[in-house]
Amino acid sequence: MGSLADEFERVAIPHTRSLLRFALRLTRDSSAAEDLVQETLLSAWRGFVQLETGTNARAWLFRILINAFHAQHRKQQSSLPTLILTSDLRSASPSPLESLSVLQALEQLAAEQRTVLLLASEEGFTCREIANILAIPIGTVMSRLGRARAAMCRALSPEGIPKRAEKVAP
Amino acid sequence: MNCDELLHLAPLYLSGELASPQRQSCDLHLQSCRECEEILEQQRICDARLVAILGNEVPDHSQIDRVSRYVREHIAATSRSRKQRWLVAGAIAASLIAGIVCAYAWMTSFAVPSSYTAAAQDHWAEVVEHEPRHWRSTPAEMQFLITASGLSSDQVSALAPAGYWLEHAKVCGIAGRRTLHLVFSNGTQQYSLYVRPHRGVKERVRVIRHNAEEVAGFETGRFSALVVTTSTSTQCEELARLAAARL
Repeated sequence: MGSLADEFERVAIPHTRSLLRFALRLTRDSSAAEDLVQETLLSAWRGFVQLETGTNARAWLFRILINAFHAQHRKQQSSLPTLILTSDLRSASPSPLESLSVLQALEQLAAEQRTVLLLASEEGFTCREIANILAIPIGTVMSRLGRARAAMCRALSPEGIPKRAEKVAP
Repeated sequence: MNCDELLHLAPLYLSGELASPQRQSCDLHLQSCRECEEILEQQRICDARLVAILGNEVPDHSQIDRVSRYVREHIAATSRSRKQRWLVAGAIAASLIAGIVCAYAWMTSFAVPSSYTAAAQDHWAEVVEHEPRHWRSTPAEMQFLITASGLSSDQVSALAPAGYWLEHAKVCGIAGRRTLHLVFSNGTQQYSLYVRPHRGVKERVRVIRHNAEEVAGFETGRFSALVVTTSTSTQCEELARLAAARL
């Protein structure tokens, strides 16, 4: 392999795991997630030579993955993407009941709120990075994230959250 | 900062993206507003619960390995084919360049040097049409010109075939270069020999036709010469070969 391939190996391949995890939530299917990540990484490889030094490679890969998913999705003309929640409740360290309630709350979120929440909470992206990944204004990210968190809190402890928390997104 | 402003900025506050002055404003508000503090705390807890539950969902290693291996193999294959493409492209480019060079050499070999046409026009005007010129015709005058051009009288006498003699001579400009114009005659036919000193590579006799004249040019390494005649191409070439052998 040449030096570019070595650089790709160093910069992109280590993100395969988190890409697969996120792809699984998008596709709801293990083999489809695998295909999506393969396509993502190959697409990234094709564009890797143009990747500027200092670019957040992880955010760049997630953006490619989401774009690839949307492209596939448009071709298939199926419904809007809904993230899958595949936790094996028996193996989760939190109690099964708690896991179920969290997952149910997540499932009830609007798809775009769920995407933003997972990118922020699970994948650890900042609001600016999410805005970059989804190609939307940062204000939209803040609004979706605020609503998603408020909805999650409301769903998980309806009596404990002040109503004002619902007003986060103008 | 009021509560609405704080909740609007909460995502940036929680992700640590707020600039220092805004962050300090938020901190101040949270110190004085128990309700907002509770909301943010609840959001932190919800996030932590979500991460704890989803964190257990790890794609299995075989799947990660399979994807990584597939991508690596594809990259290795494309790198190889890219190298091959570069080699093919290089070969094509080299062939094209070689072709262009050959074509240029071939075309220039057919291009008539300006000295050939200038000599033909000069011969036509001065020898065929007998336009008035200041010719040197006496042996002394001609010898002076011949010597000045780096030749000897005997050498010049030997340049013409048997039966021809040097009729007259003059210095003229052919293609912008000072050239000795010698006119040989056998009494019925005349031909011109244009000679100028020229250090360079030897070039064999090359004959071209220009209007009614045949022009044969050659280089000896010391002299550059042109023979112009209205006779045949073969004759012109023979005259040039003879002169080339003796210059």
